[in-house]
Amino acid sequence: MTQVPICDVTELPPGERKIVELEGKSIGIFNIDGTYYAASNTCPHRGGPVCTGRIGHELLADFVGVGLRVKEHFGPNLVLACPWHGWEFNLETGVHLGDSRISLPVYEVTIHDKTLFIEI
Amino acid sequence: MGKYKYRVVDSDAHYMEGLDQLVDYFPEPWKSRMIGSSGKDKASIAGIYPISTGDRSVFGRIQRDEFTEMQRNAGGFTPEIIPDVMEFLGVDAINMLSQKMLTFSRIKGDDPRATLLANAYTDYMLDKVVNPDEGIYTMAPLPFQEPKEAVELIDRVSHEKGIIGGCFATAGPEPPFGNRKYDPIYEAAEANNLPIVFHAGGGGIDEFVNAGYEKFIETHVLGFLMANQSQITSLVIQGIPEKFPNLKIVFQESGVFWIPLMMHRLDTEYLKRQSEAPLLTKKPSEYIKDMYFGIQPLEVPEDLSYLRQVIDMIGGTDRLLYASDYPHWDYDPPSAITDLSILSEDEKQRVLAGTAHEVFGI
Repeated sequence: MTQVPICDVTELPPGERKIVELEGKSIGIFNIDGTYYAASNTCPHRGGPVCTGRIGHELLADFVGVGLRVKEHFGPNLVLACPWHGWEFNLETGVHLGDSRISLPVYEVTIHDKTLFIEI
Repeated sequence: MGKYKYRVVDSDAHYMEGLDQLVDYFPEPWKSRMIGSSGKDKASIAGIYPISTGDRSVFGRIQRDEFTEMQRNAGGFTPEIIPDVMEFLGVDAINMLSQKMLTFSRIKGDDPRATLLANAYTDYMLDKVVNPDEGIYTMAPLPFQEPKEAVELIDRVSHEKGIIGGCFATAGPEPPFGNRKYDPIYEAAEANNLPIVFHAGGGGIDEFVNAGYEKFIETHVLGFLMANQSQITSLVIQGIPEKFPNLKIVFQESGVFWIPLMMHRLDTEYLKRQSEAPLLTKKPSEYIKDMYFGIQPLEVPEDLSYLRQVIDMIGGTDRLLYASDYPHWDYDPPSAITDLSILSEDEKQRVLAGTAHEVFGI
């Protein structure tokens, strides 16, 4: 594992993302409300640019009673959806929402002296 | 033990009830209407709804001489015929399904006849036919048009030893069976430990004929299959197994090769559209592998290893129930299983009777 510098923190403000090439890998780095995430930009499904996809919250549903419409709502987990086919991954863990045996590599993001680093 | 060295339980044979047998179990004014349409001795199905089109016998090529003889001896399809049917098939126990239930879907309007038929059939069978001591059972046909009345029927008869399930005809329910409209039925079945059997039927295949399909082989291959495909899709994606985790779900009469098709097709789309099935906590195929399936009409490929693979893909012989569909045109005798070289002795016994014991307690 090595710490690779990415950019100055000011270059990735909240709500922004950056796609970088590191050691031959395409990696996406995200700043979501001040929390940083990083994931492989290669979808394990068909190799799509998953880190260019939509970030939202996991859709959940509760069975609230026999004969009642299921209550749908968004949960706290952030999810990243590959734009090619919609495979969705937990942004923090990289685990596919529909099959825990599938996951997208994710990387730890750290800050040293106002510089963002990814551990790869 | 009968003609086989195995104990054999037939999970799907058909009681060919005539309306003349049921007419006394109908309330007025329906009883008079039925008798009035063609006389009590000939109470006609035309008094209830039109029959499906298509010639089941391939214009006389398929014959049931033994069945004709059985009917002659029993005075028609009467309760007395069942021991002869069981002896002919070589089964020790039999689950007779209502014939009239198979075309419930033809009732579309605000019409009480599905409920009336379901109750009349169940009462008649309890009164005259079922006999657990002799291994003769039936299921309550469930009028999906009227969930409240279906629940009342389940609550009324589930305690009967001779009633081993509730049965839905899969052709034509609108909305399909995953809709919350049917929740109370599943809740009642689960509470009464009553399996729900989803059985393909001929009710929808008339629509194929109306659409221009010309031969019965086309309408039957498609209709019986698509009815079950549409319902298993609705059940799984709408999360019925999550809502009612102890509900035993059985599908009958589409063979077995369609099951892995649905498993893999559903899984493939679920990975792309998981947010449309938010109640699910595992892949659709995992729910299907908790269900049970009647084997008939069993597809037997030239290379039996393909069938073995299908059985392995769906979770093995623990998922499969021997089912004859007798006396229908494409019935399978127990030899459909006993002759299979790809199954071990234990697996044969499991399919022939073990799964039925697990599901139906018989």
